[in-house]
Amino acid sequence: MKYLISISIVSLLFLTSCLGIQGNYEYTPVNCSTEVKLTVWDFIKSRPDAFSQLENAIRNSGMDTTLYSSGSTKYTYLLLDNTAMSSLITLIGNVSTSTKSKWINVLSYHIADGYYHGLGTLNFDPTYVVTLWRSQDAIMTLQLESRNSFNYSRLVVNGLDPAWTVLTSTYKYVVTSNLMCTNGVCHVLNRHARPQTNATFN
Amino acid sequence: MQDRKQMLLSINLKKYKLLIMKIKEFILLFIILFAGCKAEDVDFSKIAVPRVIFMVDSLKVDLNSSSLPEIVSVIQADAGLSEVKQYVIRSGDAESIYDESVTTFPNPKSYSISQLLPFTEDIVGFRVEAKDNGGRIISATLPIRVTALRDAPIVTFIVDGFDTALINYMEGDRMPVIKIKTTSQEKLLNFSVSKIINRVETTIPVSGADTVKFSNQETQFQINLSDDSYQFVPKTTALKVYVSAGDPKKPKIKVATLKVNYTEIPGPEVIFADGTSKLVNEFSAVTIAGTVTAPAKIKHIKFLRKLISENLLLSEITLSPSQASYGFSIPITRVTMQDSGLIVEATDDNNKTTSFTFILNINELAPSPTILINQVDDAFNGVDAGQNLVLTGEMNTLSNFQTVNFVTFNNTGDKISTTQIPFSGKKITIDASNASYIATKSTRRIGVEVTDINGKSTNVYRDVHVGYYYVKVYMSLAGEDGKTTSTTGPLPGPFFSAKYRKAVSYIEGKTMPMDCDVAFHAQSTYGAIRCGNMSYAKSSSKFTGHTKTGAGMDTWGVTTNYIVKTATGITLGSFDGTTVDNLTEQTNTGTAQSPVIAIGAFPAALPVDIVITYQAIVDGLPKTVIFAYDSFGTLTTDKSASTFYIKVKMQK
Repeated sequence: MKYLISISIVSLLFLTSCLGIQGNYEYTPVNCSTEVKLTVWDFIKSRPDAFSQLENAIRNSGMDTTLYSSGSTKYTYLLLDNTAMSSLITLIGNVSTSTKSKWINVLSYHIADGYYHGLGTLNFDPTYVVTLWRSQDAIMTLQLESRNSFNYSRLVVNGLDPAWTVLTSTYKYVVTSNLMCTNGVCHVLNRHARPQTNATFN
Repeated sequence: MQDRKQMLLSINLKKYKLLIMKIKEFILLFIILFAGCKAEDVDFSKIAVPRVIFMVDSLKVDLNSSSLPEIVSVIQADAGLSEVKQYVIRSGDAESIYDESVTTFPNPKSYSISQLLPFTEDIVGFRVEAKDNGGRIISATLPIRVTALRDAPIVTFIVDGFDTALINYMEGDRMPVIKIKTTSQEKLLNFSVSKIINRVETTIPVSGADTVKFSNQETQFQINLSDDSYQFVPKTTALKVYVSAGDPKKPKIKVATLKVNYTEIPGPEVIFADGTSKLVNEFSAVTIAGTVTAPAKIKHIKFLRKLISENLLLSEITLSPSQASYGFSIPITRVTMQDSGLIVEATDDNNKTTSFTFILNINELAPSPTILINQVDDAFNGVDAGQNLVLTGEMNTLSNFQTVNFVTFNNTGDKISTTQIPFSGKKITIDASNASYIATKSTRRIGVEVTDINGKSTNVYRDVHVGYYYVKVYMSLAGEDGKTTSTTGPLPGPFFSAKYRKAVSYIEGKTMPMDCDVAFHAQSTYGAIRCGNMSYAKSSSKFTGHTKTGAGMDTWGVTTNYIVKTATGITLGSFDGTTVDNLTEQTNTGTAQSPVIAIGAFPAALPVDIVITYQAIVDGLPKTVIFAYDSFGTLTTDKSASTFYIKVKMQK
């Protein structure tokens, strides 16, 4: 009987190592959730205070809205808030027949093919990503900023501008990141990403 | 006994069965245990295959561009990556692995590549091969189209219709028609032409511009230098053309040279019969002969008498038709000490002008007359109107006199009288009988003017100041407090005394304060000179605290207090011509001034166009004085001790 009890205890100990594999390897914050139970398109429409101009640009430019609503492929979306859109309109002009193609290029450049966020898929080294703007100039990198003083979103698009070596809120660029929508991850920018080649969006 | 055995056997059998049963339990438990620890099988068929994506469908690379594109590719593998390889594909399906294969991945599900290939024109593709943990291999190829390097522009020189790189040109020949043509595979950017003359390169304007700039995708261009009337000049050795084409950031530049063998025809040459120079006696006549020759024939010749002061044209001749040689003989009558030679200027048919000079060395036979006047330069300073002005002395000549005159001038510089002095022989004595003049208020100068029979003249004059004294006074600014040079020493001093017509120092002035009239000082950090009366000076710390000598004006006691002010109606330009009447017309009442009389950083202090006036009491009598800044003297290390001059006229 003693043997039977010993064997049972040993067996139980062994069996504990045979429990199922941990469901989620990545660290999931417990205090707040970045999960948005909406598609990216629905999320954009739900926040007109932030994205009304982006929504208008997407609609008026003829951009395929299914890119934002379809769940077949998970993309990474750099969503331009109304501040970014205002400066972009100053730069490009309102969406019109003559600027439509340029707007489509701009919007496409802000969608990366892949699922990139700061909760495990990005690190401190620049990661080259492929955007939906099919151009040789459409080079983009994403990375995380390592400095603690980077007291806002640590996502960095296309590297740090040399002027940003002094980190202040003046240079706040990615205002919110890692919003997990049902069909992709969103990062919110208050200034549009500029191609590293300094190319325009023609 | 048998029961006991049976019982023992039965007991052993039970133990044995129990042992067997325990062994079975162990085996069963281990089976259960290991069954639970068996690795879970992954069904890769349910996981998407790796995916290789490029940023473009195909890559265009222009080797002529200033920047070449990067290749960016992302490999996504839900099953996790195990290896990624990259290949460069060259024409002819030649494929070679590029970079090392990657087997470790920070994020096994996603990996990105960024490559800047050393592009060559035979590269046709870039392939990425990815293998996931399921052993599945996926490959994707990015087609690459490379535009090869293009050649630099071609420049062609077309001279009189023929392509060439060399021109043989002789001076005077017809200028050939030179066309410059350039063609390029790429769009032209800039075009310019220059000429090299005597190793110096200068631009030839094309249609008025140094550089032709293209902006309309032109790939060829041609100019005709004749359109801009371009003409070779002597010592031209080449024409150069600079053409650029292609990308402005990385242009292809072609420099082409058209060599020019320019044969220069020498200009006219002059050979004088007597060499290059000749010694001749003064007043004699001389004839200069020679020959002018020119390979391009002479068409014009000028002969000029070369004097010290100017060149006088003696004659000129135009040859028609032009001649290869021309002989000349030019007489020069009565050479003087003013003569220095003969100039021959000849021009050939190429309009080339050369000049040759035959030098005349003059032997002087008779020097100019000499004049000895007994009166010193200042002898007539402060004379009275009506006073008889007499010059005494003697004049001598080796060549006899031609004219001998006693002359007088007025205050505006006009000669007002000429009186011939009788002469005979080679010596004249002048005295009251032949060289005297009754002074008027406007008399300004008297003298004698003598000319001998050779035309040589000698003149001697003496200035006359009627009713006033004229003096140029050497002043010093050694008057500022605390300056080590503010001592009397050799310096004249900053105060002016009309009575003594001189500058007065501190120490001397302290002994005669009532004979000092005006004080001068520097201001504006030695950029101006200012004057004022003695009361003005006493009120200024520049004068009062003169502690170095203990003779500061605060120790002087009572001083003069004249009304020093700017004169009305007299300027610097009219100062020298003023008469005593002009002095006495001055109004010396009103408010005293302390004007600046010179402006400019020392020593470049220039006079201000004003004349100062005041009325001094000299020996109890009022005397009108006018003065003006004349010039700067010496800039000393201590600028406060610098010197300057004033010119003064003082009523007698």
